Amino acid sequence: MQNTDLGRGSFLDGSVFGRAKPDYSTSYMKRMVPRIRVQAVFLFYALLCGFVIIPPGAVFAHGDEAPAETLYSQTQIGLPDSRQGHAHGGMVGDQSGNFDVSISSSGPYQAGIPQALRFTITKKATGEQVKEFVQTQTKYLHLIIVSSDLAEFYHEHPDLESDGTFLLKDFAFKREVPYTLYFDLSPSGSGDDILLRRDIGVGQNVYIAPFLKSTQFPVASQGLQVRLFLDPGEPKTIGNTFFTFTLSDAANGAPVSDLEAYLGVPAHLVMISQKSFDYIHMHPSGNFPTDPVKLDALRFGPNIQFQTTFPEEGFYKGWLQVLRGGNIVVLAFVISVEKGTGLTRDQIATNVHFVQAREENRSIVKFALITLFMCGMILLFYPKRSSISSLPPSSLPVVASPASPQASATSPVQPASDSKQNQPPQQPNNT
Amino acid sequence: MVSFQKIKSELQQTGIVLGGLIMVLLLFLIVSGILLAFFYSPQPEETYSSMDSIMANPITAFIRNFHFWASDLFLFTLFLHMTRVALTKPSGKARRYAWWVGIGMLILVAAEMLLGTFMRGDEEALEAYSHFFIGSTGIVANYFPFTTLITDFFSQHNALFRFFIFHAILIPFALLSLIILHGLFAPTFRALMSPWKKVTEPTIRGSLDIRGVFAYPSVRKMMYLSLIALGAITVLSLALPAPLLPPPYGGLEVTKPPWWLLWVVFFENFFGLTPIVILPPVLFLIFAAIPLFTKDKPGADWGVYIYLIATALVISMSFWAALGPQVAHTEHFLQGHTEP
Repeated sequence: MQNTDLGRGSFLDGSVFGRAKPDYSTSYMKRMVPRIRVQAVFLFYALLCGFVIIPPGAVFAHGDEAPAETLYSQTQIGLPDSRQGHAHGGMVGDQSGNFDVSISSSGPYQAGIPQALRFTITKKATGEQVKEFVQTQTKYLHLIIVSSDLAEFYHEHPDLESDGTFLLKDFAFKREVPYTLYFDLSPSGSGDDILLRRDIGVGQNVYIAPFLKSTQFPVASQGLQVRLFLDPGEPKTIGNTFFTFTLSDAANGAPVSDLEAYLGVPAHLVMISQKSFDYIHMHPSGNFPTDPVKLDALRFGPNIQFQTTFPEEGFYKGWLQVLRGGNIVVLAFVISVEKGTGLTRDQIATNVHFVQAREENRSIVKFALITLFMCGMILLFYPKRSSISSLPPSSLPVVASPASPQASATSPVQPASDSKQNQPPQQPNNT
Repeated sequence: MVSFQKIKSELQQTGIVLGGLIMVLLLFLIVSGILLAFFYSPQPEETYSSMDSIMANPITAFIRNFHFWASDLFLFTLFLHMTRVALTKPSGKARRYAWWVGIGMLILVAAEMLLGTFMRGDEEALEAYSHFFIGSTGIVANYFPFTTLITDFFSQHNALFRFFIFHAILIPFALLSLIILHGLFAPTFRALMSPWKKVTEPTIRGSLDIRGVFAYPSVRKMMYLSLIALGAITVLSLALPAPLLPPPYGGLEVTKPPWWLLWVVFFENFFGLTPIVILPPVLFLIFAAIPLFTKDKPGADWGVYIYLIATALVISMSFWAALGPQVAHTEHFLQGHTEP
């Protein structure tokens, strides 16, 4: 007499449909557990597949978009503008939105007389002085000073004093013209480099406008000769422009490959626009060791590459600084940038919107189908522990021989417990 | 009246031959890809115009649509095949090796799909290139500087042509080679090949009609599935065109990746570009580790649970990336903008 918890006539024991009650010796729960497990997996899977999970990716998504008025040029994989490398500098314009700089000197600004200049950085909102800074390219402050006609260029590194101010000792302005000072630094906690710009008048302060024309290469200075290859050949205000400087010895024309690291990189390039005096500071493309010992052991040249974009058309004066034999060599040049044509981000987004939206809808349908099919696969193939393993031998159902044609044509998949996983030998179906 | 058990048995047998269906779909892809190659130009100045011409002509457009939907169905079937194998537990040496070779094929397929996206030469192609190739090699190059050699190799004027060689020749050949290796270890593969082996020698001798092979249920099932797949791809190709966005503009990101990469986007929305380098290898490693957690005994074990959980997470992340807004992750590459 079999032991059953079901009682007569219950739906589960099959007697309602006139079938003989199955001869189970296990309890109801032991029989139901494999079925519940599959259903639990099915339910778990369906729930996990996106129907109850909060979409944090959509809620907390943060973008990284360029300003809306930025123009983009048409390009293609393999063309120069597609090589969007890691940014190597490039500040444009005064970025003193949050910070301010005040300048004090040991006396009135006079040409030809060495003066001490002290710079104090403050927060614009509160007026509180900023006293802590992070080094960038081995210095706390890179101070670029140019004359109004862009004829003079100085790259100084004032000392950070204990009171949090910067002191530039013994600096002499050469002429009585306006000078523009660019402060390139990184206040501690700001998370980024900032650029501050101030104009000062020296002596009579006679304004001389810059008169620039494109440089004919090669140019030479302090024993070095440089050639410049631009890509594209005529730089434009949209897309990347790549600079390749080739340095050689001015005396014999031999390529120079003994440049030393200067301020943590092989070279520095500063460019200033004639129109707005916008400032661009670039470092060479490529990866360089940060360990000073390793960097000091390296030598660079003869080719050094930079890349940048230009914010406006017009002439730009550039100063390439390299270190050779312990001496800083400055090579000045001028290039012309033309206005480029392109589309804004919104225009491009509008152009792609229709196809993009259609593909998004298709993606959702595909994921829904995948979820459906996955649940089907779980129902079909989820490995169950054998429910007949604890039954007495007399109650085991008769299983057709795997070698018989009927069995090969209609038998279900063999249990996963068979590690050999040998499929039954296939026989033609003799119809 | 057909019983539920018979239907279940038929479906299970169908699930067993999914690997064979994948091979048939690969054949469809190779044939349609060869036909497309006659009309496609990998020169960057001509790429988009060649794609435009392909879509303008109804016949070449059909071939392209066929190639696109065959690749989608290929990936779909591959996913189901992996699931079937994971649920039937790849335990034992032979099945473990078959599984690992299969993971190698999965990596190749992922690379092939990515390169296929590059081939399109439209806005999404350029963003895929900037995002996945330049972005990931840029991140890796911070730790392994020699990676810049790879970046430079695929950044010059013939970059698309080099990608095309990988997509059209190298990876398909590698896939076919791995299929042979996979078949050496996969018991189901050997079982499905046995009818063909049995008829080969007599057929060569001229004494057996090749049509006898279709007496085997597995062969018939494969044939029916292939015909169904062919019909489905044809209908989809006629009804739903493959996507081709407008010409590419460099330096911005206005599209989302293809559906099979959306799960990475979910994490990029949190962490920026870095997940693109970390997550795909992590997922492949998780899949590769499954046989190590699979025991040779009845019932589900950690190998099955790991697979189901990993795939459930991938699908759910993909859902939400598909439903969420488009977010730019790479525009700080544009010169003149400081990093976020």
